[in-house]
Amino acid sequence: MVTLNDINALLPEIVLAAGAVIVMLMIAVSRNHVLSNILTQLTFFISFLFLISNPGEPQLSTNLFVADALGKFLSGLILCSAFVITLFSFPYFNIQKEVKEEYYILLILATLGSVCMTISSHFITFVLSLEILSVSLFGLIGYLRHESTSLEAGIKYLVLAAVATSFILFGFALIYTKTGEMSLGGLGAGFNTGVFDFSYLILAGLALTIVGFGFKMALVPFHFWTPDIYSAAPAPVAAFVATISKGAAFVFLLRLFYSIGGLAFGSVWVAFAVIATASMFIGNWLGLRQQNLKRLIAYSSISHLGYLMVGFLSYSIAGIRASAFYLVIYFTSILAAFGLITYLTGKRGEPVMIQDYRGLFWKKPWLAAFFTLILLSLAGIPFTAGFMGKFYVLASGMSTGRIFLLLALVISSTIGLFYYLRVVAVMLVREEPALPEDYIGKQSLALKFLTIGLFALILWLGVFPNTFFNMLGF
Amino acid sequence: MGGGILAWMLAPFNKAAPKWVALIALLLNLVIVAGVWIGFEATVSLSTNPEWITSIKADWIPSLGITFHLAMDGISLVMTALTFFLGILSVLVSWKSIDKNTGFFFFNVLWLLAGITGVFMAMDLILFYFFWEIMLVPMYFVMAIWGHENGRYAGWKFFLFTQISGLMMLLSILGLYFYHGSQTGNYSFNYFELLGTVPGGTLSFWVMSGFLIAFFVKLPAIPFHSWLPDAYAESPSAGSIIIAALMSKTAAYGLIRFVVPLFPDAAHEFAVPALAMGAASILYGAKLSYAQKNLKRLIAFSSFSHMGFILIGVFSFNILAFQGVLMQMVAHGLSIAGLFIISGFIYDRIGTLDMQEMGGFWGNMPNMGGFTLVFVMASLGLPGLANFAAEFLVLAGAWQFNVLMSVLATLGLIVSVTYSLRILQKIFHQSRHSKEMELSDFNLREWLVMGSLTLAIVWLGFFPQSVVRTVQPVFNKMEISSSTVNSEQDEVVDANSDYDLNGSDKNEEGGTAW
Repeated sequence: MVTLNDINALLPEIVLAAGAVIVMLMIAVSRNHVLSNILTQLTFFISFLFLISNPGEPQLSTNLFVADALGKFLSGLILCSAFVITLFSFPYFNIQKEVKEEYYILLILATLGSVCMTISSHFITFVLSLEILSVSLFGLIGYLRHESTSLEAGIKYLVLAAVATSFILFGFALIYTKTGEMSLGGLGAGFNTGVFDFSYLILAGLALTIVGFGFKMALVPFHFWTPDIYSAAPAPVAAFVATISKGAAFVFLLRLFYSIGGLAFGSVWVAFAVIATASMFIGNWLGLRQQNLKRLIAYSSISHLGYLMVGFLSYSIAGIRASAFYLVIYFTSILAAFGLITYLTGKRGEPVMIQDYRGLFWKKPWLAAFFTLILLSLAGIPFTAGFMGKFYVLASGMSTGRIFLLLALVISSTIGLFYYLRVVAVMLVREEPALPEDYIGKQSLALKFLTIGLFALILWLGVFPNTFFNMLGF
Repeated sequence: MGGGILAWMLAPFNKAAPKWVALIALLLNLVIVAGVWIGFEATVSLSTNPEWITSIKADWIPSLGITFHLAMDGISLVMTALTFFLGILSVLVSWKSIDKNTGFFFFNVLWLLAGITGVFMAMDLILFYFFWEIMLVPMYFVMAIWGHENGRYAGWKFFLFTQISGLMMLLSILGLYFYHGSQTGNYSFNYFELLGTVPGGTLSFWVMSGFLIAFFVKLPAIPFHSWLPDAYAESPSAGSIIIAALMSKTAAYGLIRFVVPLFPDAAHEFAVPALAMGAASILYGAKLSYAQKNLKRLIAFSSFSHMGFILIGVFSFNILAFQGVLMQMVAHGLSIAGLFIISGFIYDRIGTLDMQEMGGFWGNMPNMGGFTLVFVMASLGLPGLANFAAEFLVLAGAWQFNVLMSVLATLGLIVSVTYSLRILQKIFHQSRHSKEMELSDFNLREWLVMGSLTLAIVWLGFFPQSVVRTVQPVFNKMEISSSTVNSEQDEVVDANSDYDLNGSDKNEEGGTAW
């Protein structure tokens, strides 16, 4: 039975769904870019307000969704990021030739899918939300349909996402065959009381799900799509793919494996450890020779997901907290990075090559300082957000004594530092930057404020993480 | 007083303005430190054991037990004074030679100095790590932007080396934190609380090695030194001064402050390899130094060689050697700064550091030659100058602990004469290569810089007591605490310390026989 209480708990999601419909209807009445953008912002904002008013206690609604502190925190994070992306999108799409309004419908729907994923407690809701997310993402990635690369990326994502979903579905089916359960609560109870055990069928199911999640979160060896998609998709969409869709998938992965206690099972843990280590090393390794900034961020995000898995693998409350916090940091840094690319986008396109930024330090010191800060944050240098994230992950790993993983993290992040520094070095060259003359950040006041805001946020997170850490609430 | 220190910490942070601001801020800092020092001298005569002069403490990240805790004792006091003194000199040195983006340059220099000061005062391990790392980014910028031709490469190498070693230290800090937490139930990064917790056996060794790697890289000690010549040689002179005279001292400070008190027995076990590393650094550094053509690289390797004395002193575990280490930190800071400043002045004048192209400068620049003579003599350890006092103390201390190593280290003194004199001979005396060079002698600013340095180095040579007295209480306490731990340890693991004694006895015999 759906009670009023359940509806209350789900209000943020309902608002999102309604928002998508309203934006669509508005488009039918009159096409107006400004209006659709503002409506989208409002939708995210109202949904966020409802979310805040939700109590933090775990509350199961209809066996399908669970509204708990983790879900609340992550949904809030996703909504905030979506809000930021909406702000980025306006000036970006304003100079494009495409019709702009439908973009926002897709954006809201994709966000809806992600938010639902974070509160799913049942296979069926998870798969449905995943599909809502993926289907909207095809549209978003290929949105600039006059550019063949964008279209190509959309199709690539379509194929890979479909494959990933089918892996996940098959995995779930195997688990269901053995246990007859599809809700996380039921599965968790079964595994904890010993009714279910890790038989081969279950392990095969879990393995297939891991593959699917690996695709979604772009973990090595399922990472090949990321650089292509990032470099071809519009910058705000790439930011969405890099942050929100990965974060949402991660939450369900966490729920699944923590509730069934899968990480206590040796081979599952080892599988994840191998994936995490490989992601850290290969992500950083492939980034070394990149000339394309968006591809570089893609590899960086692969390695960051590897770091995130270290928190996940510590298999403790501290681990959950560390990963949730790491997601905040990662979202902020990546959003800022793509925000900067958006900021410097001109009519002729985005400045994607690292060489485009040469001499930025002398021409636009503030922008360059911002960019340097982002890179240092991604590299995890103290006094930036990235360090604090890494610090919590390291601490959680150390508390459970996973020295090997921590060493891998340390060494690989030093490899990564190399290419972040390379970008900084390019900015220090004394040459004229090859940036578009009419980049959109010049006119857009909102973009300027947003950039400053993110700048401050990265520093704040790096110096006083406690404020945010207390928000975790679990 | 706490407020004064806070203001002084903040001053370098906030000001990104060009040279006057930098100079005034640093002068102010120096005055404050001097004030603290004088106040301290007064209290010394009153009370016998004022251990911590000032301290400020505030919660920072309470959920993890991280505090913002700065405190100052004798060692910190001496080192911060040195930091600001050399900071002023490095600002003066870059007065003319840095002409591009001065604002950003001095911003970086101030940040660097703030980081170094922070390291000397941080009493919370995470805070210490923060300050430790805060030095990297500005240093990278200084090298990459204002360095010589290969500055960017050098900056890179420096950054990567120090970063990975720093992260190892972070792992160790975390390990210590969780060990302490699991033992006492009190999770804290505070130095004083961690001080009592000594993880036993292999754990202690591994945790210590994390710290050691960080400090050895920065010091640098022998297998970790490959970043050094590039970094030293490619920085602008202000950068070289800071990195050689101050940054390497943070590592030495870390060894004294953290490694020895936190891991007394592990450090004792590691003493012989560490001494060997020290001796090897001294000899190898001296040899490399002699073979260099580039003046700055020569000085860089000589600095590397001198840092070996610090390593030997720290791992000799007696008060004589500790005093020597501290003296060496100050004296080497001064003398190496002097040499780098001179090389900077030469570079300003002739635009190269290749010693093949120098020669016969004495004729034109007798003043510079005279000062160079002073610093060369200091660096080779002439009695009456600060370095002699320092090296003598270290060697005397080391002799009590391990004769063989101390003999080897003494050999280093002889070799140092060769390369030091080579500087003087090559640059100032040899017949000149380049015929027509307009070489002006020192101007007032340069006189000021070199004069004050010379004064300091001579003063310390004759009156080392002024520094030693300041740090005495700290070392007294340290030796007591380390010996008490040892005596406890004697009871617990008898065999262990027996082995140590035997080892040093044997070495003593070996040494005398040799």
